Amino acid sequence: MDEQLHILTGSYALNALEGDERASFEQHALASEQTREEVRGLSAAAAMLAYGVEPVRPPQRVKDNVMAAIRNTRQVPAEAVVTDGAAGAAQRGHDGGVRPGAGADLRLGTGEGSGPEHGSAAGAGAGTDELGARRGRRSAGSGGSGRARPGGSRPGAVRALAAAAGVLLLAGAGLTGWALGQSTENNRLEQELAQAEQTQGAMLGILTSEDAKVATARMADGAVVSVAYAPSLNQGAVTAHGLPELPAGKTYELWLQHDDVMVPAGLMSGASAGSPMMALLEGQLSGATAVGITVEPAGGSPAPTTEPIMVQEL
Amino acid sequence: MRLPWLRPAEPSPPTHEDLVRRVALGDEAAFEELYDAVSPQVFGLIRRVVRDPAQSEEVTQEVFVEVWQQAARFDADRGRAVSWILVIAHRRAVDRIRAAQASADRDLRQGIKEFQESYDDVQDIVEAKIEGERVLKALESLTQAQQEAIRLAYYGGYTQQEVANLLKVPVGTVKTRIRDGMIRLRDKLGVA
Repeated sequence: MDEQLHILTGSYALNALEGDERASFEQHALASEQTREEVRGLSAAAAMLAYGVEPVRPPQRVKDNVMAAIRNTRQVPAEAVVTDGAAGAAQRGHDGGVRPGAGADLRLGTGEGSGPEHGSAAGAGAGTDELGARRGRRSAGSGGSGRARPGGSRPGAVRALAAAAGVLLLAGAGLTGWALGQSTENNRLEQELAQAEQTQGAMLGILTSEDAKVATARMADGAVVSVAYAPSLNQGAVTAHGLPELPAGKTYELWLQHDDVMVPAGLMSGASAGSPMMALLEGQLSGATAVGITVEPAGGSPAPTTEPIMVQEL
Repeated sequence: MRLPWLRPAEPSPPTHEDLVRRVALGDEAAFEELYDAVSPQVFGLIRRVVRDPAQSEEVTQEVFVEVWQQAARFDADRGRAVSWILVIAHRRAVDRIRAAQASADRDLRQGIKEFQESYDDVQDIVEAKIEGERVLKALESLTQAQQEAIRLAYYGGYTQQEVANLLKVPVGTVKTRIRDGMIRLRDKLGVA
């Protein structure tokens, strides 16, 4: 275990790490059950610190603004989440048709009976289907009609959220540092931010899930690539340190091997030159036998055009 | 067996968790009730971290809009609604001050001063607030150095590097203080 990184559990739980530090920590945590366990506990404790502040009633205008804003704000559809058994609670008493808490395998290891002490951060990562709405874009001009939009979202993403939700209270709070002033953000930045937060939120879910399997490979050039897979979430991710910088017009592409077919599983890039890369595996993980990485033309290819630089069996 | 003419007891008022469930289904009245119930705790936390009143109001709005959007993802099996909302609030508060920091470095001296003030506030926690009391007690069981580092990081929203600068100690020391303190806090609070 890397002591230098393990020791960051406390700071991580308090939201006190900066971007690169946090990325390194997360990669380490992926490979260390002991670290993940500690993160779970310390995050639960950190959430309690919020109660150490005296309540202050906000001015009435805040409420007025909020009430006005929600009328134009689309909600994450309850149906989609419930279908996944991720937030059965939301469904209780609705029609009784869905068993609540089906996502219980994602449970925090916070010990029995600790009940009310741990919160959850369901809002942690954004759903793929909600990227744009993520930062509270309140006047999306969508006419406010899409509320409670039914179904049709991607189970994987939703489940990742469920994971982030229960597993790590601070899933949400861990996503700082990508901070940008909301009011001045342009759309592109907003999208990137949402994407980054989503990836991180899902990443947290994976690395704190009880059944995550992690395989780490060191490549000839010294790069370290980890593949993490959490069967209970049907979610996986790849992180890489030290992969060579690619020339303009090239990108790293991820693949899932199903039988003899390589199915595209998303692109992978770093926040800046030399920084660690991290990407969620897109597509159907169950049944996949291996994960591969190739170098492809920018934008990615529908099928690999080069030899993989790495193949990791699942 | 219940006789048909016996009415069930007066229904108890909805819990915060009930309210969030209704919010997830688009119930604006439930949202308003939830807002009234939890906004003081949320605003209190945000003001502590963000400090600037106008920005604190903005962040509070962001938080509640997020609660509205994400309500379907709250899972009552895993914790209380207030905790869930407060976690969102802390994240957004920290986001906000780090963003501000990018344009104008926060004055660390000022930070120390405000930290001391915030320390005084913590002492004033309303007695009736059981959680507040427990947290305060648990915090007090830490060493002074641990408390200081954790308070600066959580209530001040400082990174561990900034905490080190503020306290004029190596960042390695801060990491250790925070971790040891948080472990003790976790054990005291019995959350894990």
